Amino acid sequence: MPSVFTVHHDVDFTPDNTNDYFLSVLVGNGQSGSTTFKNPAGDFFSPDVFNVPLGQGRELKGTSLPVVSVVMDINPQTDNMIVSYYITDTEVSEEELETLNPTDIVPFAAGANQTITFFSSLNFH
Amino acid sequence: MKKISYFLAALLFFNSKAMAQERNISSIIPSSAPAFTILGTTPADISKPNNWNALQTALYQNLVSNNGFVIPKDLSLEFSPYWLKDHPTFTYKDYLNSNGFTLRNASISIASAKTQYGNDSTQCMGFGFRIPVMTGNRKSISKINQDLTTTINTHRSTVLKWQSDFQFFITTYSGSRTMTQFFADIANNIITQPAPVDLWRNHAADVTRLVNDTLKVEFSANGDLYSTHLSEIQDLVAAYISNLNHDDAVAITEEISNALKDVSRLEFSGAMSFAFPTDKFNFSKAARLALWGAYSFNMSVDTKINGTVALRYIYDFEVDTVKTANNIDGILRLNFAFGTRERFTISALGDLRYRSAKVDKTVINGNPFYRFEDDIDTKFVVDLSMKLSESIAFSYSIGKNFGKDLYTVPNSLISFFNIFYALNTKVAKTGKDAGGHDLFGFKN
Repeated sequence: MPSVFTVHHDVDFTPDNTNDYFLSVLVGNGQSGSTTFKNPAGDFFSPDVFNVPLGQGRELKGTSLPVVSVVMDINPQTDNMIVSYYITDTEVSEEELETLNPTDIVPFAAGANQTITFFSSLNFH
Repeated sequence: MKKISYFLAALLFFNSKAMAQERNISSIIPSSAPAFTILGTTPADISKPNNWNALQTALYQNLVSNNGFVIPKDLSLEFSPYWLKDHPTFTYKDYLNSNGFTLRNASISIASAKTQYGNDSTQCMGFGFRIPVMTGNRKSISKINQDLTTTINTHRSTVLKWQSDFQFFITTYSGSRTMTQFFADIANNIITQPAPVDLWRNHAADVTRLVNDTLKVEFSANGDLYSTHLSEIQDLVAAYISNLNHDDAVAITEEISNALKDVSRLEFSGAMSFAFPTDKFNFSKAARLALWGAYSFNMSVDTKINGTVALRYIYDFEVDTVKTANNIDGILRLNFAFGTRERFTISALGDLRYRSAKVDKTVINGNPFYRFEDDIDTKFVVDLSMKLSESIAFSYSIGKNFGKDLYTVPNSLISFFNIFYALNTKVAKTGKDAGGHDLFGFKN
């Protein structure tokens, strides 16, 4: 049983100046989770972060946005967790999201029925 | 060390708030995987690796000694190949998705034990697989899926949501403010209810309890800069949340397990065992091959009676002077559970076997001719199980073995006692540090 309950991670992304961007966060491996995010416009999103507008690339450059996911192990077959971050330049459907390569993924081997908090920072360069 | 004691302290505080839910007895007593069944073993502790590294480690620890391969003495391992790697797009809504259901829920088992082989007791290994098939009509599966998704979603919205909102709050709180201001701002937010409103309005009691039981115990409202304690606060709150959610996670995991069983009552399995008379890999003999199909059913939900009917084919390889045999088993198992928490269970198993065995060989004109002897054989077992505590169960089995079986003494009495346990990590006070602070450690 790991004695840590937190995971810290940086998601680095270089946007194009003229594109509008959206953030989606997916909790995989069948685990349950809630993600909280506040976009640059000041709107809160939780427990789902899906197609959240981030704004234009030129405004995002040089900024960092925190994202927090609380993930609980409920899968009877694995205790492993994985959180995927998708920064897209268009809104996507859930089906489309599954076919895209995520911008970044964060895996973690948790203990049985643990809850782990993932602290990520979206860094726009 | 201080940091560790912080979140262990948080665990202890919430250990006292242990949830009332108890494990079902079936979650303590392991179900028998094909590899264990073919060896006739009932392991009390099954290793279940869920990634490649864990599987490699488990195999290495059991099969390698002094840089050489050895026959493991007492191995019980079961894993699902699908879950050895991560599946980022598989969400909690997909458990009962029919696409890939069998692949996701198939499992492989490996076991080793000293078992009866012919007239001797020999180290044997068993290798098995289990393939569940989604059964039931689309309407009932859809209803089960809907109920399951609703349960998980409700928990996400009412519990995990406020927790991630609060973790977001402490992560984005201004580092240049003091700890005094931090505690004052939390109290103020509960009154003024800024965004996210749900956190401060609907979960004011949860936040207050968290702050009083953890943060205020470990941190003083003083002039320290908040940023100097941010990392410790995040760890402490995360540990608190994990302990707070533990029993909910256990209950939801069990609900998912039950849903998977409900929609996959038909299961195909296979297993093969090998005997290693010299205890070395370089000399082995195929011992037994088995294939079976099993269907589970509920006779009564109210009285908790369920059962399994199975048809099994077993091929016994030749052992010493004992010739090969074909066995066809018809199996019926019934389980009765008593008490609101299923503290007592009685399980009855009957196995009717048709057996056709080669008994001797005659050679005529250079061609071998075999004489077969057919007979009917039976085996009966009754298991009585009692759950002593949340994580310990006793089981006593009594019955009669087959009259003719290569792996058991004919018509022998079955009578053995088993203790099963589920490790449940708890936190206990282990002493004090030099500063007089309580120290805490994990206790199984």
